[in-house]
Amino acid sequence: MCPGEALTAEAPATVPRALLIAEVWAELGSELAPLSNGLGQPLARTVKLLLDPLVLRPVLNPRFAAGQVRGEDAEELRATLRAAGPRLAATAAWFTRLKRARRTLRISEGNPQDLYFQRCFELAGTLGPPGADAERVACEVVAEIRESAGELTVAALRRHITDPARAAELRARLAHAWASRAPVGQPPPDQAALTAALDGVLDRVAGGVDRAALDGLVAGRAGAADAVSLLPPGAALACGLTLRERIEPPALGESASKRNLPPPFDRSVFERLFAGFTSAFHRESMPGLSELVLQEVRRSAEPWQLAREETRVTMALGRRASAALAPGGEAGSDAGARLAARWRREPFVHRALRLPRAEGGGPGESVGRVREAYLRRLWVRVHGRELREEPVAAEDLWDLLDGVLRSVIMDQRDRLRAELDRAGGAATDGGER
Amino acid sequence: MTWTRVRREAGTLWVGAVPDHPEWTALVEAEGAVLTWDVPGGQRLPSAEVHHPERAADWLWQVYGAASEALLAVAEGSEREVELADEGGPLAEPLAALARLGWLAAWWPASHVAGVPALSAALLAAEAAVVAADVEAVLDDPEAVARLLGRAAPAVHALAALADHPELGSEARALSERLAEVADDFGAELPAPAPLVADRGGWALAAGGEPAGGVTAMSGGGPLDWRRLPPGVVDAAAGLRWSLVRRDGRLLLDVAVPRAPLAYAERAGRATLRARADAVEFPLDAAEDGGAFGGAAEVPPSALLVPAPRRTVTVWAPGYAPEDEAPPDGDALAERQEPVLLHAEERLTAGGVSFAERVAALVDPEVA
Repeated sequence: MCPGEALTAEAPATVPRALLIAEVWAELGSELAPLSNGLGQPLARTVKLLLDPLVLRPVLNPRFAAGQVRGEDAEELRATLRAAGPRLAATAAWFTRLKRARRTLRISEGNPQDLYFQRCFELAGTLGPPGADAERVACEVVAEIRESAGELTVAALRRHITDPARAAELRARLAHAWASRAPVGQPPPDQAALTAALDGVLDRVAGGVDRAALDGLVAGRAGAADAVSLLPPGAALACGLTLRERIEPPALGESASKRNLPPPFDRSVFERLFAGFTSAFHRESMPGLSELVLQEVRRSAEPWQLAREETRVTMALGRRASAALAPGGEAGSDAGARLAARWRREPFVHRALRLPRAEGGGPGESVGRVREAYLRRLWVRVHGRELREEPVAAEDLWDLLDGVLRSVIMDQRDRLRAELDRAGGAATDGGER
Repeated sequence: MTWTRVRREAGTLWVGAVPDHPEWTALVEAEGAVLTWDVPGGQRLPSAEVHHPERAADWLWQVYGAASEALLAVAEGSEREVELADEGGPLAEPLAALARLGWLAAWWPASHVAGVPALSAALLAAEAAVVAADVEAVLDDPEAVARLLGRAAPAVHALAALADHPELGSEARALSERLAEVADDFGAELPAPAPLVADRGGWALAAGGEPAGGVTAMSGGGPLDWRRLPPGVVDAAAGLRWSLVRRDGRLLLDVAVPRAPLAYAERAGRATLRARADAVEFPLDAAEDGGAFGGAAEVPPSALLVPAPRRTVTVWAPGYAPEDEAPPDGDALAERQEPVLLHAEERLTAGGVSFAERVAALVDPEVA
């Protein structure tokens, strides 16, 4: 029995979008194979990077959003996909060419789907399917994407920031930015009202965010207001954002190690920018190096040590939603309850995967620490987005808040698994294998 | 067709029942739901905890087929029996395969005693990466394939060594090719295949108890709780052996635990175990020949007053499981472990579902 037929035969009120996509995808045929998985359906990133933002565009066409599509919209969705067929086929052909060029140029950094899908769609739009000069074009594009991901920029940053005259000027600017911060003695915001407003947005965020309420938080500077409560001694420490009792201005810094970065507020200006540089992104979207450093100096003195109010609101929401991850914390909202539920499921998954139990003295994240790890990682993510000038879209907010916890959990599992793999049990001191 | 109990409570949809024990549980974390299968029970369609039904609605039909509509229609606070067609949707099989590969890596009961060969963790990860690439659109973790590829890297050596095997060769070549394609698609780098080096060997059948030397006053055996031991360390069909020995004028409690067999193309790790009994606690180290873990500690003469059946010896892996737990209950453990051993025996007779199982059944690690 084919489930698809059974579902469509009765002309139901709604149809799963993935089913509609799968049907049209099958019609469009084998030219789309490079964008498809082994079962002939679109890859996850085909949907995320191509179909959603460039073809179906649910932000503009909410009727095409993931999940259930109403029966009367199904035909239009099919037609939209079919119309994109030739361009998608050309995109697929370009992707194959770019992957070949990547091998020729011996590039192994990054996920080629993340790096090339959208460029391939652009190429398909401007040049159509690959022609006679496809090899040259593909090599140029791949090389250009590598350049923009910028290994060189870390070296350039170091040169820039360690120039003695410039370093002195930057230190002075840093001191000035911190000295001219808003006085701490400002009237404390109404914490109860702020919490209620955050919970209001968090109650809806997992099912489709209430944009008006979110915009209201930004307009009311709820992110900056929330940051006031980080200032008393020990408050930012309790959130895991610093190891110090009191927040101090960052050093300028001149070195960084990817494996050994301190908590966000303890990072030097160099370390903050370094962390952004090492994740693959398009440097063309960033301002020049000198402006970038000045921005970071100013940013460090702002509430949450972030520059944009939208980003600070994201931190405030994450902080509120993660309250239940700390011992004795209460969820307070739907999003908070969902994060807590993800964390509560972990022991079950953990036992089924036969991973070491963290409370057994193993190397796992201790129970009380998960919220701190969560807030650290959320800060790093939103800081990276500020650097790339890539604001958190309202419809991606839940994926960000939830994805950060998943990422903390997955890293913990990877660590435990690596520990097991290394030792075939618990690690012992000495002894040759 | 199977009738399955479905209820919706506090926004979460529960389909069927979670397996009784972690030892039986294969699972996949999908977007908005955790799917579980009872492996010894031979469950075909998964049970599910659908914690985000709106998200899961996009793919649920691919697992349960047409029945997904009836599942999603169960109202908050109510409970219903829903009829599920056994074949399910198009992703039911690959998802079950992915879950099972994870289960094999965790709970496959490799044992010299029961003649259950060990499975290669790298081959299992390679197979899982290939299957995961087909179902990644419904997985919770967007990096799932990349993670599995990372663990699959050492499999290229085993796959290259098996490429000319008379029975496994074509399958090894196919898996190798597919693994390379998936690695290419997801930007993972696989190492160039290198010839396998024979391990220093010594995987002879474990000796069990009977420590040499001294006069044995009393001896006995006891169960091992798998949940307190990482995968691939102890022989899954064996128990521990203990003996009270008078040696050099001291009364010693000797404990020995047979070691698990090694998988094709894999080396032994350096695990350490600990044992506790008669109010003493001591390490069990792997013997030089790799056959067993053993250790001894001096006990007071009063230890001789405890009758053999009453002596409980607890063995665990420090850093893996906490030590402060009740001593194992042999009957309860047997109830959980027996179905898993039976399942492994059936699988081996049937020829194995995964490539790693077929490799294990056909290739003798001692001659690798």
